[in-house]
Amino acid sequence: MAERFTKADWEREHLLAGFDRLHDRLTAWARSAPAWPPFDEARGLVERLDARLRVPEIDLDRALVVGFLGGSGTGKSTLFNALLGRKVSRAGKEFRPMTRRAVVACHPDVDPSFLGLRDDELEIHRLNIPLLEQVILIDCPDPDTQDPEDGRGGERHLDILRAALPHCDVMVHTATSQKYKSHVVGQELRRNAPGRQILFIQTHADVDHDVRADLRVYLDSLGLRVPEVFLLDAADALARQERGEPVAADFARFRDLLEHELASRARHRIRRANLLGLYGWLLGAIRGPVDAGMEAVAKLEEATARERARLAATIAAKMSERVDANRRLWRSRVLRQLNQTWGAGPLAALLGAWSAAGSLVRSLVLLRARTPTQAILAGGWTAVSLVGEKWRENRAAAALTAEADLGLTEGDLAHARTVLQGYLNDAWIHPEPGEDGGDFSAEQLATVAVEVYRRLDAEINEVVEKRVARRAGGTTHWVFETAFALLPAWLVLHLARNFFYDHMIYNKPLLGLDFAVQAAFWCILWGAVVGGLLLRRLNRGLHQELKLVVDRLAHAPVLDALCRDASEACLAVRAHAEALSAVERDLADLERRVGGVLDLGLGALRTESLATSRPEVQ
Amino acid sequence: MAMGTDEAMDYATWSRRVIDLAEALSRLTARAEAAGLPAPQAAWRANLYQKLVPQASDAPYLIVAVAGGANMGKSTVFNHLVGHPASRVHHNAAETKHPVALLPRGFADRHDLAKVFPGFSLQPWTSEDDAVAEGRHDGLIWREDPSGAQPANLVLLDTPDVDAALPNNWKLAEAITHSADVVVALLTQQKYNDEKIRRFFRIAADADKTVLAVVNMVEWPDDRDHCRGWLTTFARGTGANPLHAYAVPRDRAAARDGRLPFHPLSPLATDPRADLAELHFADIKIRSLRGALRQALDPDEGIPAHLRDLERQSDENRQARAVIHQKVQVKVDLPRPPGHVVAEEIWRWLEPRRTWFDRKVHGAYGALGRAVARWLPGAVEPAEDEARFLAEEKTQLSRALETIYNDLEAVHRVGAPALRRELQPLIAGDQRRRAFEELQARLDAAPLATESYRRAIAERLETFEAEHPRMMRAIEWGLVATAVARPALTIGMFGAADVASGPLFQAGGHAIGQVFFDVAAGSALTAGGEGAFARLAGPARALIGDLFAAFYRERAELLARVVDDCVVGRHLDRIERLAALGESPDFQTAYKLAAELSRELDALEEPPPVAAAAARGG
Repeated sequence: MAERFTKADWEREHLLAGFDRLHDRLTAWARSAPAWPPFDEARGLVERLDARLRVPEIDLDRALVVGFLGGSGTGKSTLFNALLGRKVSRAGKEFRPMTRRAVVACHPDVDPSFLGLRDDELEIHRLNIPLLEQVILIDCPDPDTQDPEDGRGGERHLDILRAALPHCDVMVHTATSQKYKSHVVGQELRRNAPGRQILFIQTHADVDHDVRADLRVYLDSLGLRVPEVFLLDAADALARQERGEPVAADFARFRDLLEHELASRARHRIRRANLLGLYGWLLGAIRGPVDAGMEAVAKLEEATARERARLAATIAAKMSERVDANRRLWRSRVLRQLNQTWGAGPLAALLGAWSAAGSLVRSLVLLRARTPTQAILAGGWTAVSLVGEKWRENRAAAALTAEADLGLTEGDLAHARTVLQGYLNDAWIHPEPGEDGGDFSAEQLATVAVEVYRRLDAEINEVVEKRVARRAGGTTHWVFETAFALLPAWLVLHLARNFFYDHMIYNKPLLGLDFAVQAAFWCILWGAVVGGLLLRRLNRGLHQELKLVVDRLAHAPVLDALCRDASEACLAVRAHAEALSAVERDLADLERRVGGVLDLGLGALRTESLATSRPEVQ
Repeated sequence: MAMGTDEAMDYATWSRRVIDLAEALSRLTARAEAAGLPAPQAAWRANLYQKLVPQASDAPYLIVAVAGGANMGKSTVFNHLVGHPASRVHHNAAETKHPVALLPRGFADRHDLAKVFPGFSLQPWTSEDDAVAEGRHDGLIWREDPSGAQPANLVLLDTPDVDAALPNNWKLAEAITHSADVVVALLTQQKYNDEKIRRFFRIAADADKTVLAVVNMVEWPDDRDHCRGWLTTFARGTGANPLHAYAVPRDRAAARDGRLPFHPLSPLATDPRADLAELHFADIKIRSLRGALRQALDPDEGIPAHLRDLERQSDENRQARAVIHQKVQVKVDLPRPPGHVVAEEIWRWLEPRRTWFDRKVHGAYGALGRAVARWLPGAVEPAEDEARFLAEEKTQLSRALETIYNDLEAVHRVGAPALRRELQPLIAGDQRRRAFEELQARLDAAPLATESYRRAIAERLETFEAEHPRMMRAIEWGLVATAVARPALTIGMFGAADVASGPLFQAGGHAIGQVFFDVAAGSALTAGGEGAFARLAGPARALIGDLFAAFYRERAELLARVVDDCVVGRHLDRIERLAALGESPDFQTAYKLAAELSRELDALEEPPPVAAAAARGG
């Protein structure tokens, strides 16, 4: 191909690529949506409108299709004829309705079959006049004389109107002082506004009052953007043309706008603007229910967080109570840790003996420990695992334990479950029950309980280790060992002096068994004092730290496993709703590049009212 | 002017029944509205309340209403008919927002205007701008004819439009036009065959109102022939056969100055004011009354249809009631009560009845017993027992609430649309959360033993003492301290009389949520002190059962109240009321009267065979 691409061509291709991308992104978004009613609705809408959303349509070098919409007797046919400069469509006041079929005026070269209307629904006039090289005019039947209940047989001109209008790029809305506020016409106008531009005209200018100000207010209340309302008298314009006189300035301006400004120069721009308008409407129509649904989803998330927090608070209160009630248990854990850290040394040995004696007691405590928390405070997870096989094996049993120990009852769960079920229904979220729980069942609570205990153990371990490392490090060890060793050292010195010096040299009697017993007694006492000081140092503030642990645990996401499925479904919906914003940004970007059609004096549906009207869907 | 024909006598006998029917229907509507059913917006209401009730008994006057679409010149024509500018003419559409009534001189003294125009808020005329002013949506402006030229029995009405975008205008126009006997139908070449206009006048013609047609804004005399065609179309489209027809030319200056010519289009027509004065008042009145009655009793759209609709709604709700009654039921196993609560109340009652010796002996035994009881295996402190009871009770009640919600949800899933709509707000998340919070709050606030419970115990014990004086010893010797009874508890909706066997206590004296005990159900008697309970003799056993039942009643009533106040009560109340609607005496009365009147009307309308044959022959 020896085509040369000009800059304009490149820009055009670039723009079309933008449309392609918008279409692809929207369809991809609609297809990949998670199951959620507003998304399903969006998918349906996108599928239904797909034919109109496809790009090639907008850049066909086709004539601009202009349709007429207005009440019976507002001069649609007269205006149609006046634009053509001859009587083509039957106009007049003898009958109402006058136009019962779609009257199409087009150039002999144009094939109007793309309108898709049946032969008995339209009459085609092929005229070789310059205007029709650029536009196709469709004179439509009126929307206000057919009774919805008795439109039988060939009388369905309202249906013909509704079949013809979707093919129009531009609608010409005619109104008169008698009919401009007609409810039926207003509804029809709004129904067909998405995705097309509108020219507003007050006809019968020569006989009626100028009501354009009030007309503008009314159109505005319908959600339409109204840059200009033309005031024309088409009957007069036609008469003048037939007499060979020049038409009135207003009419000439209108005809010029339609023929030159719109149809030849801005044709592609209008089509693109229409397509963007349709996208805008579609995204608005999708956005409305999605936003409404997201409110419910947000409520669900809030409720989930609230229920979890409520349960966590109960757990924290109960555990805090347990920490208070079992001081002795966690102190013995500190002692054990100290033993492991210090290893050798006289004081260490003494404390080791102390601990060993204590472990006997502790094992009794472990056996007696009624709850996992008590067991963890005393011996740690491993010990619990050994001792508490019976409640770890069986999840249902664990739930019972959890009930007693975590302070959560089946009633609390029923409460949370029921409330969340309500919010789930409100948000139309129905998570599939997963393989591994994730709901609000007692089994799930057992899993949570195990997790809580594991973390509690780990945290306590860490607190104790850190504490021992910080408060009973090498220096402390040395100082305390030294302090403790002073008495035995002095005693040994005393014994040595007694044996080597007093006894061997001066032959004084040896210190008897009495002394040894006394010395041992004082050593142990001294050891107890020093050890006590040490443990005091170690245990000071431990209570607060354990409370902090419980507090941390209460805020930790241990309860996230409860109702996880629903949270995940919420997140998926939220993420997908946010992905819609990306499509909206694409659209805004494209709109910026295409530019508006406001400068052409064309009206359309205002963007904020896009969501509330429904288009004629092919 | 007299109305003394035979047929008028018929109406006199009917008027009483029409008024009874109207009263029954308005009571019925009020009840339906209170239950959330929207008031019907049908033509029969306007016929009944605007026309038949005020005019059936005695109304020696004719009401003439000028009606038509927006901006067709209703106010202009009205001003010409009354001879002065009474209603503001505005070139914007849909400006007349209130009907304007022009009364003959002295009319307000002879008639109670509130009865002539029921349902409207009457405002005396101050200026011609009253009709276009904003204000009450049901306002009606009235003025007595200042000139005295208006025929004494003629009331003239200007009405709002019937086709523009302000629905309130249509409603007012329809309501006020139903009260009319004569309708002046405004037509123009643009609107004479509009569907809305056609339908409006078809209803008027169906009600046998006399129609005068005024074709406004005519190009006179060019359109003279067109006018006839338009009138033919109008007559065919509406079924109206105008008594007189006039053409009014388009002449803005003449319209402003009140000198528009009315060109007669029908053979007998002269001038509308003269023609109105010469109407056959009595015939027209009777015809329009009968027409209104026929329209009100129309089997497809009138009162019979409304009654059928009510009956259907009532049936639907009765079914819904049955479904809920069957499906929503929850059996609660309340936990073993803290025996000491009951025992303490019994001791409290016994205390003043005992001798000094008795008291000492019992005091000693009591102290000893308490000391021993503390060391018995399985013994619990009263405080601990209470805490256990409260926790278990909370669990049970939460689960009961969960069951209720699950049941309601199941009903909602399969229910009829009306029921689904009713249940939707009940099972929403917010509502559930409130219900649980309320239950929690009330449980926290409720003491275990209330004053009313003390009174109930005292009463029961006194009765028992009177009946079985000797058995009091057993009570005194403290068997009760260990005997505990646990009745079964059922919560049902709409009276659950068939759900429990044996003697029942109805605890919740509420409309919907009701609680029933089944003390005698054998399986229900379980508890810590079972052995002791089994050893009790029959009467004592009944006594203990009763005492505990009284305790449970208090607790269960709590749940019943919560169910009633927070879960279903107020909402399902509507179902109950709607279900009752179809059986109410007002419904029966209305049904009977409507049927009677319909039969009599049919008999009257059936042409006598001779006349019918004559009609065929002619």
